[in-house]
Amino acid sequence: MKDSTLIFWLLSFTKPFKGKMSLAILLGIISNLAVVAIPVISTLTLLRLIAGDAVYLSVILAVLIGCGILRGVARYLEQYQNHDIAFSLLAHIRGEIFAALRKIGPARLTGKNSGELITSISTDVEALEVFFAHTISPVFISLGTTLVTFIFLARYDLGLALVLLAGQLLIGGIIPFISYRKNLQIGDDYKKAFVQVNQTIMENANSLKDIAQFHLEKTRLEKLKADSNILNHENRRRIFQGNSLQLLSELVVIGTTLCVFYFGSSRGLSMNTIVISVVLSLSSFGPVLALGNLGNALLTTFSSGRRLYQLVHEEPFVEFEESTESLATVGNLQAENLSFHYPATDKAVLENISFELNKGQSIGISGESGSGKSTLLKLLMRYWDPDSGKLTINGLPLSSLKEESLHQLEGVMEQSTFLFEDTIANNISLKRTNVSQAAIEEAAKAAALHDWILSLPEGYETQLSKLSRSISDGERQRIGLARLLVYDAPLILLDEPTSNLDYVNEQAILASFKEKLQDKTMILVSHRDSTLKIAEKQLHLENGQLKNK
Amino acid sequence: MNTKDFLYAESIRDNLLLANPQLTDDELWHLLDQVKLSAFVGQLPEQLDTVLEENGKNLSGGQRQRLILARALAASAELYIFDEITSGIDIESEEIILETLKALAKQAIVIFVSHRLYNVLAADQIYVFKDGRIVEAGTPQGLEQTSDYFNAYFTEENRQMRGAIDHEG
Repeated sequence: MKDSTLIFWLLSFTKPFKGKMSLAILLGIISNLAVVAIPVISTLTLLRLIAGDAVYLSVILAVLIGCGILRGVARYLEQYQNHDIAFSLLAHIRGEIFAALRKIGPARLTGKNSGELITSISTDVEALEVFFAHTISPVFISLGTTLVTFIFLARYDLGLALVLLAGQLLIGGIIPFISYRKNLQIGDDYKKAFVQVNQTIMENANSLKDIAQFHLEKTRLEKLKADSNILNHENRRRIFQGNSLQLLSELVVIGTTLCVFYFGSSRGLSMNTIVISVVLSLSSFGPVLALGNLGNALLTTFSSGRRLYQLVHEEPFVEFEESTESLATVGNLQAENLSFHYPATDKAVLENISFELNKGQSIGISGESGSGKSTLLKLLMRYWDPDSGKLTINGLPLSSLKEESLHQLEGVMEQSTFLFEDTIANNISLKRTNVSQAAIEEAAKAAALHDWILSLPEGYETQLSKLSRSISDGERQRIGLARLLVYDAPLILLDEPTSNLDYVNEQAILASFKEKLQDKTMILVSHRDSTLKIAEKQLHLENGQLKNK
Repeated sequence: MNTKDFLYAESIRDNLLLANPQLTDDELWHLLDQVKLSAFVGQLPEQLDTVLEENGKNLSGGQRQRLILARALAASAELYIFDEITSGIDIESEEIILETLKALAKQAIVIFVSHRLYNVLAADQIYVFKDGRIVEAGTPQGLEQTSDYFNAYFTEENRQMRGAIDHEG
């Protein structure tokens, strides 16, 4: 991936901030010129004093103090503006990342490691601060300041002004650019090592029990240590490059000043010109030195930027229509000769699957693990589109429905239920305001949760994090079932909805579900006959083919 | 072994060797045989070198649980405790796991915790827990004849299956 692509992408975020950014640049130029002005004015005054010219010392003193104050105020405001812009942008970009994650959908996310995602969302976004606060306006500030000092010195002597300009270009542009290009790998290597440490920490935390069971304390600690050592090594490389860059820049400052002095004297220029040139040379490198450091800082920033760019630009497996009529009910659901294989493999998971359901009908699908039961439901949720065949609701192809419409039509319960750190009531209603307390309680009763919830100190308002023990898999699943009932969608898709319940509870819940879901269209997937029997019709999935049972 | 066991994002071989680094490939295949996974692993292009996704996300629930069981067997312990290891998996895997445990119980002590009655009927002794206390104990055959619990269980089950919702069992 080209850096220019990345830079244009990052710059595209700054458009709404053009005004603020221009102001920051102007303030930055003023603050830098104020810094240069102090020694230059002092030197000029000194030269006049030596020459015996009239000098209004009190006025000069006032001007110098004024420059100092101006520098402080302008610098403060410039930094305030730049960081205000940067952090507003970071907040905006975090939102973009979540939007991107939603767009690429659960199907793509299953292949991602948790350590990778956490790094993207937290540190990668933070790293962009360097670009937004310390790159964009500083480039223009340097250009502006350098231009003014060049013109100022050129009025004394064009040759010396060109020497100074060359030094400034070297420090602010050429050296950091070459160093950046030569060390491009450092940023990526550092980030990779960082992600690996995150991943190992996550794994260690998730496998505490297994670590104790199989005496892995030493090996896991050694792995963490090895990963940390790699990270330290990469960090050292990064810091060494930064320090070398800084040292080189300082040498160029001294070198340029010496050159200015040498050329000035060898060409027999006036003492005044030489002194002013040397003073200007020593004092005008501030803004370009700041740019020089970017040759190091941008290594990791652009590495983070590339990862975010790739995440945001990942192609989703399916695209949803933007504006199509939405459906309120499901009168008919039809699958015709569906075939499907996963994008990464050649093996067909489903072959020529056909079935039809009318409003209020239900089918139960059995099959061994890996037979494609869950995949079939995921096609109905449009995680993927089938390779061939048709999938329609009320005669409309599934792919013509917009995303919200599909989500409103389908109530889905998968094998694992995600619970939020919130109250039980909110976990059931998902905080949708149109859900009444009565509806929540009714659903909880049907899912055999009501009595348990009432036995808790704060009832439905109990925070899950405040339970005296962690929630069991069965309770988790029953909250998922209550959530599904409250959602009240016309088409219900269930994937092993009662796998964590014992037989008695399962039968009780299924009986009340059967009653509550009478008018719903339903597809139920399970390996258990005891679960499937609530469906009117039962089918068996084997070798990718659907057969009557 | 419980339902929270973790598989690392490493090869199947490395995950099994965690329990016992000395095992040869032949012994690993024998372990996979015991949990009826050798056919599945055998048809993977990289076989034992197949790298799993974090926590075995690329396996089905049943396959994952059987691989974890194979790893537990690799440890050749003398006492095994299994906590609800058959929940949430397909019936085929459940049967395989129960068969494996039956064989295991011939050479090691096996404590098997389950909320499903039919899972524990092959045990030598059954202990029934309620509210933190053992309320019944005995052989499955003995309990079937003498225990009120078994009868009550089935009565309750029938009542609930007709649709009555009761508090958690």
